[in-house]
Amino acid sequence: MLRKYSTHRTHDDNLKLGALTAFSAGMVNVISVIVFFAFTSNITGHYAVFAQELAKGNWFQAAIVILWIILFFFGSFTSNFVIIHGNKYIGRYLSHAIPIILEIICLLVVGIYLQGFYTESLQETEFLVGLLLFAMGLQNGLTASISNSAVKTTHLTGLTTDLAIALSMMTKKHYRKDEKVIEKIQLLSSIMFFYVLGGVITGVLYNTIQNYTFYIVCFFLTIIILYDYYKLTVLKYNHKKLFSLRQEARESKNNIQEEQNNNITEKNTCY
Amino acid sequence: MRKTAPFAYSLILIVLLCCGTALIKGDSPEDLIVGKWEEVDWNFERINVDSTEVNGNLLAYQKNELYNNMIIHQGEEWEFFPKKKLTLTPKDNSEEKKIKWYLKGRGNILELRYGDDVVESYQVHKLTKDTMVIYYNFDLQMRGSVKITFKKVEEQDYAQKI
Repeated sequence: MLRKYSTHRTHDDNLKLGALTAFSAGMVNVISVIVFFAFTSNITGHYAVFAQELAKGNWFQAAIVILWIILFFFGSFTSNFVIIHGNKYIGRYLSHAIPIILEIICLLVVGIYLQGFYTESLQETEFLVGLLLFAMGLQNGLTASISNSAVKTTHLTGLTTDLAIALSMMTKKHYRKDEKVIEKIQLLSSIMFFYVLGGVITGVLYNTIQNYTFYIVCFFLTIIILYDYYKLTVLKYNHKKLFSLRQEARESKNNIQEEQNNNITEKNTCY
Repeated sequence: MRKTAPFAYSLILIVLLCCGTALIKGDSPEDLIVGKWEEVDWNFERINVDSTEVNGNLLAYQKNELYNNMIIHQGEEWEFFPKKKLTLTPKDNSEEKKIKWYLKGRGNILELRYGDDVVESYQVHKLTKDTMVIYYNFDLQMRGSVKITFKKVEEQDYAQKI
């Protein structure tokens, strides 16, 4: 899911990454609406709200909204920054995993703060909403960056448009068997489905487990990291095993050849 | 084209500085709301009745019906205290209510909490030093939403003195 980049990614990689991250984004968005009355996975609405607050002359609120937008922006900026610069120093897998790790830290901070320290003041609300927007920016930046903009999981505006376009393509017979169009529809509809599913599950879960829901989101994000870690370890293990087997085979081959050579030299000396 | 990056980074820095200034100089909704507010207008917007009959104001029986659903039963003085305490004082000198208030979102949602898990949510449409306009959206089969306008009592007294 994480370790492959751009065109090296398969449809299956994008499908898994898209589904899991969309699920997490759906969960985060619904929790933030329940707890803070603010959307945190999409910022289109915030732009409209910013314009509205400016028009009303509410400078304080306008500043808060623009700071939220900037935090989402910085999230995406940080993701891509780590990916393009970290690749050389810490390897592809780790540089792709760091944005998810940062996202988990942000969500944990929000979850722990809500459970132990939240006094429901406006400043706290504004700060925590900002932190969630930063986390969503990190996630969206990561998925978009490593998938060549094929996977964007925190908002559904562009996705709905793309899905509509892809489905309208299907009205032409020529495109119905087009593998690319089919894969795109599968990817977009799975992102949409898992985003909504995450939201619905959170809506139901929040009534019983409340802020522990944040830990569930962290669990799903950890799956993304561990899945690739597991895959890498298995690959390394298989590679090592294959390498040692080959070496053994080569050594035994050499031994046989040496023995044969020795036999020949022995025979020669006898003669 | 070569100057795009410095320009973009400078723009972000300028926006951040403007935001910082607005946050330092501007009034937080949480500070603005503290004080005594008197209800001066009660309006039902986009009402589905003859506008000539009610002229935007709600008929008495409709108002009573809505008040029953709103928990707050009569026009009152709302006094917001800094530590999230709110006192609702009815004009007829009946018993005052002490509840909790919270601002959510960017300060656009006012949440009133009564002791028995009852929560009322209002949308803060306007909040200045002397005026507060809030909307209450009903979960009823009705069109429109209730708009309540408040004037700050202290400001009025001060103006009257002058």
